[in-house]
Amino acid sequence: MQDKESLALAVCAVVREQLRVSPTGGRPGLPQFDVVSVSVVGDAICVAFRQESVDPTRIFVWTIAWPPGDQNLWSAEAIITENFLEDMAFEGTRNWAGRTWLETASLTFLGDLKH
Amino acid sequence: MKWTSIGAMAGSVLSAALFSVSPLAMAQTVQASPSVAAGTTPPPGHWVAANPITGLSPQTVVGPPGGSSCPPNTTYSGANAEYSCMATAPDGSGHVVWIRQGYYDYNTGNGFGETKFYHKHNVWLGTVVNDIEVNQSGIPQSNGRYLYGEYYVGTNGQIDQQVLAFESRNAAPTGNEMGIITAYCTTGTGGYEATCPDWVNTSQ
Repeated sequence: MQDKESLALAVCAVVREQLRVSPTGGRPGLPQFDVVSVSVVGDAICVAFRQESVDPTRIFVWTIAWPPGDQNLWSAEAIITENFLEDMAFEGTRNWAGRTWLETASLTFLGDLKH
Repeated sequence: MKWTSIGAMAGSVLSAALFSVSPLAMAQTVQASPSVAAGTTPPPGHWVAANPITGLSPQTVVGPPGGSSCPPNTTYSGANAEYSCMATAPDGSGHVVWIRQGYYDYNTGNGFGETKFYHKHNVWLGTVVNDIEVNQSGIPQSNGRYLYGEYYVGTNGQIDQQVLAFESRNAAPTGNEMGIITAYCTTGTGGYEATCPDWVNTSQ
């Protein structure tokens, strides 16, 4: 088992690549977005992305707590990527009313801000 | 309520070729009937697999769900509890799809497996088992996942609800495949729904 930090970094790289190669995961109806980065911040994974149709000057940051329990590269990747795609499918950035959010300068954080 | 091969529908309502591509793409070509969002009584109609099992004659009843037992020693505790097997279901090709307990964070809406698709989207375990078993195989997605889909066709040929389940075939930390990561409903036109109407589950 890799240590959590190195595993999280590897997961970020794989999620980033997944969302770069296949932004919508093959699902129709998702808004267009460009992933800027996927990074570890404390115990959270942050997916930074642009959505020009909403605001070309802003970078949105979607956050998810590191999945609980034992994880490997592919379990964490699947959980993170699929939750991100699902949130994009259901809400996009056009309707984030149901999500906690915080705007700081040009960064808009979407998600549980406790992390 | 009957589970039928898509062949039963192909000649009369929709193009079978479209079904093999994507149930969502297909759905967008069909005008949706109003959704019966509440209650447990479905509108007249029947469920159809997105990737129907080959070799079945039209009107073949595929359900009710068959094997859904878990292999021995696949209930876990502690850090591995989320990987506990809730059910396994074979698709038409014989591929066994795992459905794991998963987890769900009510504050963020994130999670995976049965705990998530039930508590967040009101998709029941039996619904996902049926969804898997009526399909010949999962439809490969561009991100490596597999889609198991089914949709409800009314007597007027219009599509009402769709059930979509996404599977990862990568290994879980406890071994075997991860299985179903999420499942949810969409409207007949592919619009995303926060929760499935109860009748989607009771009509399986």
